[in-house]
Amino acid sequence: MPADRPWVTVVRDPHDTPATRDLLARVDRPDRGALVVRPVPGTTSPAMLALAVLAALGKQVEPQPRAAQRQWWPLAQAWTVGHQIDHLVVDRAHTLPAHLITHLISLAAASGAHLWFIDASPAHDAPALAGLAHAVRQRPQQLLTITLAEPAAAPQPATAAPHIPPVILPHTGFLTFRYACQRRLPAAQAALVDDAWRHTFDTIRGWLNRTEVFAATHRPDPQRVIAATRTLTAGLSVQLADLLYTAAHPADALLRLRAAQASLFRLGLLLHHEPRTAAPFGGDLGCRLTPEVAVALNRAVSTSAAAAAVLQLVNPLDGSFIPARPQSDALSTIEPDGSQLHTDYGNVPLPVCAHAILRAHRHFVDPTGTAPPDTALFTGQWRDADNLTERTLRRLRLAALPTPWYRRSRAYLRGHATPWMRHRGLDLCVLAELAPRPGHL
Amino acid sequence: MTQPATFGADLLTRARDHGLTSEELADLLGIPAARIRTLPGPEALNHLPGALLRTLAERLDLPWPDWLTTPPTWPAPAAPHERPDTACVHAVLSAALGQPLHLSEIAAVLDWSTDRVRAAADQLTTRVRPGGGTRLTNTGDTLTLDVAPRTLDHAARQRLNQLLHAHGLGPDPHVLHLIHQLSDPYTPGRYRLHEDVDLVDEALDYQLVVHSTEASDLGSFHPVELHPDVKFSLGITQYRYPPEDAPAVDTGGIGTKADSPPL
Repeated sequence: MPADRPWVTVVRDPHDTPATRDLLARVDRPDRGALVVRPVPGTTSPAMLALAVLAALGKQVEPQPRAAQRQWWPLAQAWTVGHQIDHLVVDRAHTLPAHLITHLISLAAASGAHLWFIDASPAHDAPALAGLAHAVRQRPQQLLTITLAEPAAAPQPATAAPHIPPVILPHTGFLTFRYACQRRLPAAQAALVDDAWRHTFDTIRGWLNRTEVFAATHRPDPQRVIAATRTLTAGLSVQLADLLYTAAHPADALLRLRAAQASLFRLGLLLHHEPRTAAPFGGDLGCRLTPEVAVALNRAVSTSAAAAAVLQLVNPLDGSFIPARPQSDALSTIEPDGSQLHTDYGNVPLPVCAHAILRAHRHFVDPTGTAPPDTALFTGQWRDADNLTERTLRRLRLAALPTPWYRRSRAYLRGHATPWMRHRGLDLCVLAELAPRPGHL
Repeated sequence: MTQPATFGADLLTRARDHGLTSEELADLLGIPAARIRTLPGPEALNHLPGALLRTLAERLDLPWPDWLTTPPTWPAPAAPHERPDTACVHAVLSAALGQPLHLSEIAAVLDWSTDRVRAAADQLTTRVRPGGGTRLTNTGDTLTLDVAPRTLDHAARQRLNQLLHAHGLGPDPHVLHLIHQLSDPYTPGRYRLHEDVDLVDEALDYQLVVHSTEASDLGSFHPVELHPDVKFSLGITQYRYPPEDAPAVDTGGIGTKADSPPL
């Protein structure tokens, strides 16, 4: 079947039976690739049909979107592509005019979906559907053949660091963490933890050895390291995001952080960790875009607004980069399938719940896939994106830095930190900067 | 004379001494007369209500505690503006336990004049019981309420300090510089370690370093070296214990040996 000619099946249901309603309810799983669109009676325009598609995808269409009506259909198409719909089922399609049937076929072609029209006209095929020469006629039971896609797996780090079981790790600093794990955990768990610790330790060591300042020697001039701290901080943010976003649970994240701290320490860098909240250790290290937050963001109709909020939450380099550096947010920074964020310091694997939003926005910006890589991700919609980001994140209490739950040590304030690191109570400084000066005590 | 074995037996003896018959005692207790003979049993009186015991005590001239007779009436907590000044100052100092507060700071918290705080502080100083668990230190215009030193032994205080550090401040950052110097034998300036006596002491307190027993590679005697646990945790050594010396699992509490605060 050509890309512009999707598989089309017309399901004849002349008696409009309740059993067909039940079947549709069973297959309506947008998260598993099957979407049931229920156009309201009297739908005659693409805008109204777009609202039905958006509503089926769980978008908030009451009140109506603030975007111009001409944008509604492209938005519906972008979200359909973003959610990777494999089966697009249109209920009561016999009520739609022919030009909307054509729109739906183009929508299915764009998203690569199998299109199902439910024709419940009592006497004969609806005129708009009768003309579909390539369509297959089936009975409602054929809907049972729809195969729901498996849920997407969590992203794996580039380094494929092993996961540890969800054990209770000791609340100690990195200077004694590895030993404390050995002493307190049962032997089997301790072996797994130590294996994962060493893996992360070597990963960070390898990254440092590839950086410009450490590539030539393991003991560079401290002043040279101090001068490069900002660059190292940016790179470290990306490395930590790779490790922490892919952690299986808070204990996994804490272990990786402690191993990274030890590895950095050996080369003269102190990654200081003072958790900002009283959450269980490691609980605030992971990605702030949790599935619960993604559900809230997925209610947005505007792909720009949702994508802006997602990027603000996941980007390890700058928490406010969207209004600050819009020109740097090119289309190429997002992997086409939304699974990775490309930065100057490496790639960041993104949580599964971010993929659909970023895919949708990419498709909205570049529906044909032919735009140059440096095409801006956000144009002319800054206010919208900014508003939604702020409103949504404030409601979720994610907008501002959490207030530290204890008095912070003044002695460590000199460290460098990206906003992403600051949210996690992390900052980086060169140990040479901590050298005691005469009369310091 | 044989001592009664139970309270029930004692009760029977006292009832007889007061001239009560078995029937009268049974009537008083609200039990069948046939059960009187079971009174010496260990659980015979367990289910008697308090009011009945009180009646029995009155009849047998037994002492009865006042607190069972008159329900205690606790005074309602006074409103903040009705509390004595000393109580208010004490509350502020308690909330900031261990933190020195200047009179002006307390005055700002309570929205009082400094003179009023000073008067209350003077009164409070005389009221704090020397044998209590807390200690009020008044140095000039600064007050500190903290736990009396003898309340906790040295080891407990040390563990408490580690816990407090773990929740917040951590060791002096310069200690980390010291640790890094010790972790790298070729770090420039390592020979100056002996000058940082206070840092070394703090590192010893945190059990991050131990006294060295070997001469250094530079030919001079170095007082400390990294604790073996720290060496292992920094990846300097790959095994903390030989396999045959592996420790038993310790699920001990916070502040056990060689635990350092989060850094």
